[in-house]
Amino acid sequence: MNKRVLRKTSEKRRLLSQMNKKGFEFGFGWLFAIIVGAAIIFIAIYATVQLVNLNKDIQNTEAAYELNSLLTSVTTNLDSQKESRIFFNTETRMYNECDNIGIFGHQAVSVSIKSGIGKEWQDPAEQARSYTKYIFSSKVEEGKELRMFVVPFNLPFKIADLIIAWNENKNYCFVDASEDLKNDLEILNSENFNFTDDVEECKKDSKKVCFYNADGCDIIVEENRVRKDRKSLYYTGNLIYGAIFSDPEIYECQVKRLMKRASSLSLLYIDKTRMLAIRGCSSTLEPELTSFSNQAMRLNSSIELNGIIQVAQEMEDKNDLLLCNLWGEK
Amino acid sequence: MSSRGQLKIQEMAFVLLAIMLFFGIVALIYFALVMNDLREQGKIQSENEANALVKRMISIPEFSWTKQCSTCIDHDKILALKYVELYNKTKEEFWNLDYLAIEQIYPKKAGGECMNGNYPNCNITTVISKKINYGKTSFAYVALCRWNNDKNQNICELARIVVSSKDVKDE
Repeated sequence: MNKRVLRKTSEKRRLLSQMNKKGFEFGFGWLFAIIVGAAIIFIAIYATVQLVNLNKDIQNTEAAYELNSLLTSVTTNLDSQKESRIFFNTETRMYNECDNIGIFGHQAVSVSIKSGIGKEWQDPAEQARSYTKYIFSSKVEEGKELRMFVVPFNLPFKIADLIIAWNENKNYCFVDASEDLKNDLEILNSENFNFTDDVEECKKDSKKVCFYNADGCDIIVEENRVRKDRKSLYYTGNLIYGAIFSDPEIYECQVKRLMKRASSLSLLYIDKTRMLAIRGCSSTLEPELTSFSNQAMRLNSSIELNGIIQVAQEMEDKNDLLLCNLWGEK
Repeated sequence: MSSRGQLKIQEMAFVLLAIMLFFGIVALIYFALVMNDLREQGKIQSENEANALVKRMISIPEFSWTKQCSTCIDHDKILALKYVELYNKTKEEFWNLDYLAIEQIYPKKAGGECMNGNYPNCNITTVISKKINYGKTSFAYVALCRWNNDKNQNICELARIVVSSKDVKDE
């Protein structure tokens, strides 16, 4: 009996030892190779992803600076009202950001190009900043084309050129528009603008801009204000286009920037009036210019434009009577 | 562990180190090339911006004379630009330029830099001069206008606006 048990036990040991010889030896070498290999693959994937993102960032930044440069040229060429177009190779988002902090505030433009790899829309990269541009558009314009026109803004002297921008997919339907606005916009010959007398005749996907209060209007234009998105945007002169085409936040910020510029320009005119006085052609405009400068610098919202318009009108009347005009020409 | 095994691990470690070093060097060369290309691109963009700006100067309200004359600029306002503090504080950021000056060409005048004391008997008005050696310049011919009290009318003289774009920083 005992002999049989011993034989079975020795048989089992033999079999086990045979199994061990055929088994896989998982030593330190293998463990080391797997850990290091995994680390290398992880680093390679991480580096590739980072590189792709970096390239996208570079591409977006270059596009933003090119766009900014093109916008500078557009301002030059479009003093006479014409529609201008900027074409992108692929679907692109233009981010319009306005900051009114500082002496003049600034305009920032950034771009994100649609990508087929990874995230469809990457966060916009570096911003192209400008202190002398004023772009009135939505915060984000998406499309293959950016369309725009430029109008001067005078109060009473020229303060800046306003760039009014939209994308090719946005249509505007102007219902019962004033003759001035109709004439200005018809010259552009834009396929995005439609003029009608009845809001029912507007295309469904278009933004309805009504010059009277009616049902179904997206934007209502009144004598000195534009109502949109439950907000009132007050305007004077060509600012009406800014109020119609831009987001309310962008509009309010740009108006503040424009008034800061107006304030600084009036300081230039104060210096000019002093220089002219020394050369024998004095004007009595200095007190009005000083008051205008102070009011414009303090402007907090477009609703305060009314007070500034009055001073501007007084200055314009006085300037017209001068032998040596500070601005404009007889 | 046997000494042969240890040797294998050491070999593997060296190979890994060599691979990492190789890829590190390749990455460094790649980034150096990309950076160089970016710097060039930035320079071109900056010059394009300056070219566009010099053509646009006449329509900028700080320079513009009247609506009727599209090539005229206002000498009085340009001189005032030198002295108004708000512009002085931010002039480089505001114009995004390293150099901006108006040089009078005809009729020829002496007098050098225009200042309150010698104006209008001078021939150059420098608004920005950030450094002595600025890069490539762009210029545009303009009519430089001001009120002349002796003639009791506005007079315009031939001049040119000279600008140099902002240098691309090596940061």
